[in-house]
Parts: sequence; C-alpha cells; structure tokens
Amino acid sequence: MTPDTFIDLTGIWVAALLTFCVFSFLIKDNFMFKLTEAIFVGVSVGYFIVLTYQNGIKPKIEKPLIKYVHNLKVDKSAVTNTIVAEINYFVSSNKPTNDLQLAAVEQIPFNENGFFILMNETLGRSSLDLADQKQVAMALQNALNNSTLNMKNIFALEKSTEKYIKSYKTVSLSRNLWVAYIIFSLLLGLLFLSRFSPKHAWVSRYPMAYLLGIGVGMAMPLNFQTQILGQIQASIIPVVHTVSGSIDWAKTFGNISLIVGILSVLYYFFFSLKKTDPFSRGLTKIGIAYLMIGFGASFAFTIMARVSLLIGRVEFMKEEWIMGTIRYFGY
Amino acid sequence: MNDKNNKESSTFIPPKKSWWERNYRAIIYSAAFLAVFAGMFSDKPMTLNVSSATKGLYNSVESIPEKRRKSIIEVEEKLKEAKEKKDDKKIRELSEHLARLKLNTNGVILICFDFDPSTAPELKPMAISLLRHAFKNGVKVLGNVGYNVISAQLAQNIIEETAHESSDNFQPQKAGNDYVFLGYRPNPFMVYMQMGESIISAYESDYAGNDLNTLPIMKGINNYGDIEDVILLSGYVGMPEIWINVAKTKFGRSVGLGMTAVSAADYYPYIQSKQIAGLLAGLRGAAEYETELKALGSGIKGMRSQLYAHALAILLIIIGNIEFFVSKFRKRRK
Repeated sequence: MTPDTFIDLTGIWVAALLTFCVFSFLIKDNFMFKLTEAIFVGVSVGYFIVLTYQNGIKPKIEKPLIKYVHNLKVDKSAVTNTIVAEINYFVSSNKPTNDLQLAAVEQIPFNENGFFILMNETLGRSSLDLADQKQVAMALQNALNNSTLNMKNIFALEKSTEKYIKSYKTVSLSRNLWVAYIIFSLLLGLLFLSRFSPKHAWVSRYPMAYLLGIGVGMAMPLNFQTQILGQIQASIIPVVHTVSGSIDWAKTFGNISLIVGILSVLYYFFFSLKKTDPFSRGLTKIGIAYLMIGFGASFAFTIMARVSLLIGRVEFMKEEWIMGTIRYFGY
Repeated sequence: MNDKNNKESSTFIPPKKSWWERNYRAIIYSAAFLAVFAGMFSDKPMTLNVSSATKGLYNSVESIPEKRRKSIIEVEEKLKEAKEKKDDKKIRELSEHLARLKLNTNGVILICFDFDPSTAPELKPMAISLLRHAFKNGVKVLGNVGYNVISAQLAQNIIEETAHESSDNFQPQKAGNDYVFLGYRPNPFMVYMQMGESIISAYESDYAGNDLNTLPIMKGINNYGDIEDVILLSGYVGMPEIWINVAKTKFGRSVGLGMTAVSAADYYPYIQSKQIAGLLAGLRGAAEYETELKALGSGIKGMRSQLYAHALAILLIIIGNIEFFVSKFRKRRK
C-alpha cells in the first residue's frame, strides 16, 4: 500500500515508531513503552466516547427528539397538499387508458387499512423532515411505487386519501408514545450516573435491574436451547456408525471416543463422591487425559494466535512502513 | 529483628548471571522476529489441507444463491396455500416477502465484523475472503459491528477497499446497491433481536448516516427472513453465543464463525451439533478459505511466516529438552 498524502505517510511513521516503543518492553520496561501505553489508553477512550455518541446517542436519542420537536411546528396543510399532489400523480400515471378497463378497475378490492398503515409508516418515520416538501414527496413516491398493496382501484384510493387527510396529524399518537419511551429510556440511563455519589448510588440499581431483567428473560430460554439442549442432542449418537450396511470404523471410533470423553470428564468434575476404587480412579484419569488434550489444543492455538499478531505487525513494518515510504518517494 | 533482616537483605548479592542468562530473551525474540520476517520473503508455493470446518463455511456461502432459489419456491408454495385458504393477512405478508426475495435473486449475507486492530491480523484476511466470495457470486452484503464501536471504522475500510478492488471475479460494487455497512448500535443482543423484526428500525441509518429507507439494497431486506447466512468474525468470546442464540436458534438462519485461534477451540462443539455451518480458526482458517476460494491473500502469505515461526518453536523445544536431560545427566555424575 502506498500512502497517498504526506499526512498518511506521517501516520504510518508514527505507527511504526509506536510499534518499536512497544517492542522495547521485551528488552526492559522503559519510559517510551509507558508513554505509548498511556497514548493507547487515552486515544482509545476518547475515540470510544466520540463513536458511542455518534453511533448510539445521536441516531437513537438526539435525532428523533429534534425531529419530533421540529415536526410539531410544521404546518399541517403544507403536508396534506403534498399528499394530495403525490396521490394525484400516482393516480394519473396508473390510470387505465380506456373506459372498459376503468370500469373493471372499480371492481378490484382495495385494502384501506393497509393503505393507512403505509401512509402512517412513511410519514411517521423519525428520519423524515415534514417541513421539507421535496423529501416528503420523495418518501411518498417510494412508498406508493414499492408497496406490495394492490392499488389499481384508483377510485377507492382517492376516497381513502380524502379520509386519511381528514384524520391526518403531523405528529401521531404512536410517535408521541415513542418519544415518551425515548425520554423514559434516557432518564433511566442517566440514573447510572448516580454511582458517582456514594449516597445516591442505590438509584443505579433500577436501570441495572431493568437491563438484567430484560437481558436474562430474553437470553435464558435461548441459551438453554442452544447450549444445553442442542449439545445434549448432539451427544446422543449411535455408537456404531454404518454406511449402507457396512461399519464405518473411523466414525465409530470417533463416536466411542466422544461418549467416553463426555462421561469421563463429567465424572472427573463430580466431587461429591470419593473416587477410591480402581474403576473411579481409571475413569478420572481418562477424564484428565481428555482435558489435557483439550488444553493442549487450546495452548497450541494460542501460540499460533500470538505468532499471527507478530506477523501482522511485521507485515505492516515491511509493506506499509518500509515499502510504503520507498514508493511514496517514487523509488 | 526487622533491622537484622534489612541488613541481611542489603548485603545479599545475586549470583552472577552468565552471558546467555542475561541475553537469552532478546536472542529468542530476535530469532522469532527473523523467522517471521524471513517467511515474508519466501515465495515457495504452499499447499494446505482444507479442514471440514472451513469447507463447511465455504460451501454455505457458495450455496447462498441456491438457498435463495429454494426460499423463493418455498414462499411461492406457501402463498398458493394462503390464497386457497383466502387468508388475507398471510397473503399480504407472503407476497411482500416474495417481492423482497425476488429483488435480490442471488441472496443476501450478513457479516458481523467484531474485531479491532489487536485481532485484525487473523480476522481481516477472513473478512476480505468472505467479501470477495460474496461479491463474486453476486450476493448482496450487509455488514455490522456488534460488540465494540472501535471496530466500525476498520470494518468500513475493509468493505470499501474490497468492494472497489480491481478483480477479474467481480465488478466494483456500489455502496447502497450491492452492499451496506450498518455500523454499530449499543447493546448487541437487543439489536440482534430487533433485527428479527426489522433491520431498518434497529439501525435507521447506515454508518455514513444515510437513511436506510432510501437505500435500494434495503428494499429487498427487512429482517432475517431475507438473509441466507449470518457470519460472525469475532475476537471476543461470548459474541458467537449471542449470534447462535438469535440468528440460528430463534430465527433459523445458517450461522458461520471466523474466530481468533485463541478462542476457536471453544466453538468446535457447535459444528458437531450442526448449530454452525463452519468455522475458520485463526490465520490458518483464513489461509484455508483463500485456498478453497483460489484467491491468494494475506492468509496464505502469513502461513509461510507461521511455518518458519513454528519450525523455530519446535527447534527451541528440542534444544530445551536436550539441555534439560544433559544437565540432569551432569548432576547425576556429580
């Protein structure tokens, strides 16, 4: 990769120098390593706070609230005019060309409820600025053209539009409830900050209880299904595996080893019994052997992972730092 | 008594260390660095045996267009039944679902990029290979981040770079049409559950801030019902369980995993229980996927360095053992 600008190149050099500072710890703990460590923690926290605001608070709380307050002030008649204009445009572009077809169209059933839901969903979106007529018109066009509702009966569509406009409000009840829910959530979240005061720290238990209650309630049945039932089901297997009548020895050996492994490891962790007889001690030893094989595999994977991280760094030094600098200066 | 102890400790002279004892760490680290560095200059072709775990994931991604065709036929049949029963609500739901499925005939994949720079050397090659594979087969890509907001910019860069790379296998992909990066929203479990109802209401806008309602790709995607495969690339233990719980157990989607080597061992039982389609384990998994895809990437390149580093590790183990037995033998003779 060749750095495009001098700032990119500077960034790569800073990264390379910081890498050396971190690696310097291998020789001895030193000031440069500590400095790099502090920079890393500071930058990570700062970056985390900004990104959490941008990706969480801004789209989920700030934007909907601002849009809600803004839409409250929008003139209702301007929006209804746009609705009428867009429906008229839709009707004119979908109108049959001859009278015979026009008569047939009248017989097509029209889903008025579905139409109301479609309009409410389109105009009630938190991202839609009702004061921007162009945006409203575009949203309505998209919704009408892409809807799976059968809207060929233009007479019923016009009638339903009239009905809809009469009851139309710039801010619907569902939006009011939604905003109330956002404010409630925000207040509940703010209660976490009470932990800064030892006297009022107990208040933070309310949002914690809410989070844990919902989280556990939703996750428990799924966890049980995935990690207990799913795994038990996968362990109930035939000892002898046959393929078109003949024994598949490799699979059969695998199945036996799986069953022995499960039983012996479970028995090893069963501490309520004294394991003094030869059978118990034998089974426990088999369990330990299985565990050791598992730990060995994990440890080997860990070494591989650490070497991979070193490879990543060395590749950066070679490709981006050394070769990137050479390429940047046109050699 | 304390004074006496202090005096004793102040007069303690540590035994003199030999040159090797003082420098062995620096030598071993330098050797490891050189081994990795030497691996990068090697262009010796490497043949890797592709494991069944990798093959499972590859086949699952490869068969996404086929899965989509089957889904369309299935929904069409259900719609027919609903029409016979004159169940209006079901007819509306199914016809909407069918319209969405037909908008993306090659299927949709959701890739969750849950890794940060500290685990990127292992997981980035996997992400690139999976994206290349999806784009090659015309599969639309949804990307998101579940655990750490810091992963978002890294993931965005990977998707952008791969989508616009010059390749014989696929044309440059268009953001909003062929792929969309949703970014991060707090509380992954709740977000994933809400995605089962509506992805648009869970995210509302993509990472760049575009309203999801305005993106052409989102016309064909409402919830998990419009996605064939969910793949998680994670450096965090605990995240795969959430995806398996939500996407597989609750919504019946095929789930695949790409894990760092450290945590990969914990997830092999899910392959045996068929709760995941496949698993890429560390850099080796990435290299295997590249082998299967026949597209050389940093996974295979990295495996050359791994080979040299592992050879060095084995050599050091052998030397260590020889030294151990020799010193034991010497002690006995003394």
